[in-house]
Amino acid sequence: MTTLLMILGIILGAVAAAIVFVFLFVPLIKTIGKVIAHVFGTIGRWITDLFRLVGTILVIPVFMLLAALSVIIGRWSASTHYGRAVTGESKSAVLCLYRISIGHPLRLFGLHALVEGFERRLPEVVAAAPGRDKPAGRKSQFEGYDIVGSLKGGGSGGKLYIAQPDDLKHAAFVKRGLGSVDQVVIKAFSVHEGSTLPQIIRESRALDAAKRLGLILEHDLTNERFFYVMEYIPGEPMSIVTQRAHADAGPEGLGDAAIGRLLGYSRDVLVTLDRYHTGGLWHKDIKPDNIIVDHDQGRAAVVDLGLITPLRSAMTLTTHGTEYFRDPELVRMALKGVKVNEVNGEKFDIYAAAAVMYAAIEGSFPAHGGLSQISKRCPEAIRWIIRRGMTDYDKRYESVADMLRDLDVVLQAAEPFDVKPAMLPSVGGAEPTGPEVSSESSPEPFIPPAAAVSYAPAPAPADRAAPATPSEPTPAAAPAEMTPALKLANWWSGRYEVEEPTNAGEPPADRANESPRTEAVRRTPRPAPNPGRRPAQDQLKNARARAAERRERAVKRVATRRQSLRQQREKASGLHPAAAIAIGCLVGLVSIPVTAILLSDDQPGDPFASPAVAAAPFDPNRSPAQAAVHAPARADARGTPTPPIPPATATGILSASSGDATATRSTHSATASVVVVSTFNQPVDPGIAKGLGKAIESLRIAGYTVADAANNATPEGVDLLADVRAERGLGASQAWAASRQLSEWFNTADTRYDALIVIEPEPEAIARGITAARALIVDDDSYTSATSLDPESLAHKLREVTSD
Amino acid sequence: MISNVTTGFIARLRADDQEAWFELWETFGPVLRAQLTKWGQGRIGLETVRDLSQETLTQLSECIDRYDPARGARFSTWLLAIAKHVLGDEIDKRMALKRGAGKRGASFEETWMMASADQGVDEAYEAAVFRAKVEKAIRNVEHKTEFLDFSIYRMRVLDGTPGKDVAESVGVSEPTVSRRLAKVRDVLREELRDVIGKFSFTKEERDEAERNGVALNPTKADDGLFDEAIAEIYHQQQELRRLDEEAARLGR
Repeated sequence: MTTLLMILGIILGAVAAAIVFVFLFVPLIKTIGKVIAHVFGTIGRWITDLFRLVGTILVIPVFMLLAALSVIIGRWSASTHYGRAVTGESKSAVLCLYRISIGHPLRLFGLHALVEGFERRLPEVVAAAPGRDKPAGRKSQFEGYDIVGSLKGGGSGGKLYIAQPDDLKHAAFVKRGLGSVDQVVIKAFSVHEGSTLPQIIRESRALDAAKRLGLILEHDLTNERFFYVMEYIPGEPMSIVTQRAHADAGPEGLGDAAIGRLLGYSRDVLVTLDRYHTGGLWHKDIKPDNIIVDHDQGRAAVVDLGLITPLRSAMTLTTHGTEYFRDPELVRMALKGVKVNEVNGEKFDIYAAAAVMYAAIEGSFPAHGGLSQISKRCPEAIRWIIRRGMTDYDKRYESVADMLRDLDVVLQAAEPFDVKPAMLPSVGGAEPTGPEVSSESSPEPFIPPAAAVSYAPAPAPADRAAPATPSEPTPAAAPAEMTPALKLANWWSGRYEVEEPTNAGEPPADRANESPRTEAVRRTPRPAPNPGRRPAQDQLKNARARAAERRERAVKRVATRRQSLRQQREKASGLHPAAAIAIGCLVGLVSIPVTAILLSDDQPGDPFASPAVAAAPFDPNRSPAQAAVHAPARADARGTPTPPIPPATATGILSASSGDATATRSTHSATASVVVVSTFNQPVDPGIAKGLGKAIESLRIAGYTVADAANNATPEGVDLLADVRAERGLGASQAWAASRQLSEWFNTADTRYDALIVIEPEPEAIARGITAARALIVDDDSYTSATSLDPESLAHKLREVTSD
Repeated sequence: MISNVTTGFIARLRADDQEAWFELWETFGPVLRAQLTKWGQGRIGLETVRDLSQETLTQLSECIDRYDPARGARFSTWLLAIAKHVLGDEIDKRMALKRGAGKRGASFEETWMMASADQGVDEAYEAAVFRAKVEKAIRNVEHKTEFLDFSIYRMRVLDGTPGKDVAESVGVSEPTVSRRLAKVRDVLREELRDVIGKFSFTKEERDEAERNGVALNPTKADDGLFDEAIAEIYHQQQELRRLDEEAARLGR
């Protein structure tokens, strides 16, 4: 007994020692190792800088000597060169001295945050400092303005000056209703100061855009220079504000007040963007450096109009913009040669605005695009908004207004950290109640007051290309003009419908709540109608007849579906299926021993007899399935084998002859009706036609009801194909995107089929000069990516879709 | 055996498909920059690293016609060899300025490159390439799945939020969270197969997923391990991207 206890004690002691070693000793050793590595690393860097300083100090006199010699022998250029080298070495020496005396000692004690201001923010602020305060030469003087400062120029090549208008100009601005303008920014391009003609032309487009937004006070173009004048917004870039906020905060992230303030600025940006988009413009270069924060008024303004593009422009997309704030999808589209009016430019601004919010919260750029992780402290709903703004182009917010509504819900909440994504309007939550309500209900509103009152949702204008100014976001409605409208009903046949005349200045009633941009985008990519085949009266009559027929079919289908749903509901006993299975299993487990005991009671003389054999009395009325179950046992009992009856035939499971993929398909899938359409032009390549025939045949064998509209041109098939062509159009070449597009349409189309298979040319094969086909399979609530015409894979994919 | 998808991608590169080149750059650019930084060991600046990574792709575009996947060489190894040559050229150019002063230019396998020789074929690089493939697959999943589904997956797996909190956050039940997770997981497995097939040429490369704990034909019990492996790879890749972004910011 004592020995046993000793062994047990030794084992327990060993386990305790192992635990102590693993959880205490190992981390301790690791920490000590890290500290030693840190100390030696710092000392190493300190020594390196020391030697570098010595080297620099030795080199400086040599350069100075060389500079002096160059002056003596009259080599002025060389002396300038050596002079610059002396400056560079001196800077290097000062930096080394700083690191040796301050930087490294502080880092040694882990005070990295202390030196960040000197090493990161100071150089950035110095680099961003304005240039010369006075333009060079007399020609650059601007009449009526007194230059008082300058700003750092951007990439456009223009010079930026801060100026004060004289009394005459000031009075003129007041008379024009622009208010009291104390300071202005003049953006000037002069051929005498290095500006080029292309720069001036490009900037003139920005001028046009800025005019639309009412940002331009005055402009002038001469043979030598071009300039325009805008109101000056004093402040500092949001990038600097963000950096400072993060420098003040701990490593876990910003405090409530800082988050609220920065999100308030982001809100201002969204409000401004909404006005740009309402005015038909795309900013294209939203980033923290282009957002100026006015601390006095507590608001942020968007600047730099250099890349502004009309949303309806017919120009090809360019990759201009700033990395990390530019959607990679934009680059992809630009590489494909997509036109500006073929995309929704608003979504790229939304991406950039979300990236700005990310930078504000995280203190760094979203290096991972939409996948960037938000590790710093922030409300869950804000994470959601950022991710929704930076997600895939198709799934992003449809408009800035949508994003703004979500952001307002968080900003207006008394406890923003309690707001869940499910409460956001875009996810189905309640709409924001209005800034004034929150400021009353919350003593310390999360939203800064200035930002809270700065936004008034811009009502939808009649035409997105129409001018809209910040002070007057709703342009006056166009004069009531009754215009007839032709609506394309069938792209394939060129059929169109004549709509009731509508007021050109008002959207149709059912679209009144839609964003004007959505309406514009929906209308834009559709090809022009082709009237001239049949008289309009005939076409209209035909269209109405078809519409009535389709409506009837849709009503029938909906009624059938409702009935089947009702039946399913009636069948359900209210018990959860999983619970029912669990109860069944339990009863089964209990019943086995009970049955065994009962049987053993019945046959006391043969306790080892098989219960299966004993419990299989002959019953002439049993079902074939039961017979199949009992057949082997019976065979054993009688000594003669009896072939089992396949239970599949009794339960409607398909036979295995249609392959593995169909062997386990339920009756529901097998009876699904499928229509196959082909977008190939006739005559179809014989190889593809043969493959298609085989595929259709295999689907029929598998039990599907297949309507072959690809080979047999029925009127309904032609109609369906025309619809498919119209929907498919020149849309995405990626198979999954095309499938989804078709699925969305199929969901609303009133056909009597459960699924649709579209056979179309394989884009990659076309690029390689090969003829190959792919199949897109969709039904009204799911879809799959493309598959080949191989019968087995086609059947497999179809089963996936229809079983959903 | 080489899959059609793989040769298709090479064909697109050969046909100077700009989208394919952008895809390659987007996927492997950070890995390439990290590797060049590592080799450079402070001898080359951040801007030079970015220039050299672009130069590597330029060189690749010039010799893509000569690449024969049938020889069994990994595409990543081939890319690495090109990057090495590009870096070697850069060092040669710099050293050539000092010629005549008793020094000769650095050769391709000079001692300065021996710093990473202890890793043989450079396992770290190969691991980074694999992580880039996984990242690409995650991106594709983001494209293909619904926003809500992917958000749930991101919160649960990539951010490590408990299932109950996820359910509460997005306003669905916990079983729905599990169901949607499973849905996204399936799509991710499918995408991993596609991406690994696309950027891999040898059987060894295609088997990389299993070696890294990412089972593509799993049982139910493997789901947890799969999620853990994906989350770990995502975080490592996140760190790589963060360093890349920081370098770019400092270089500005």
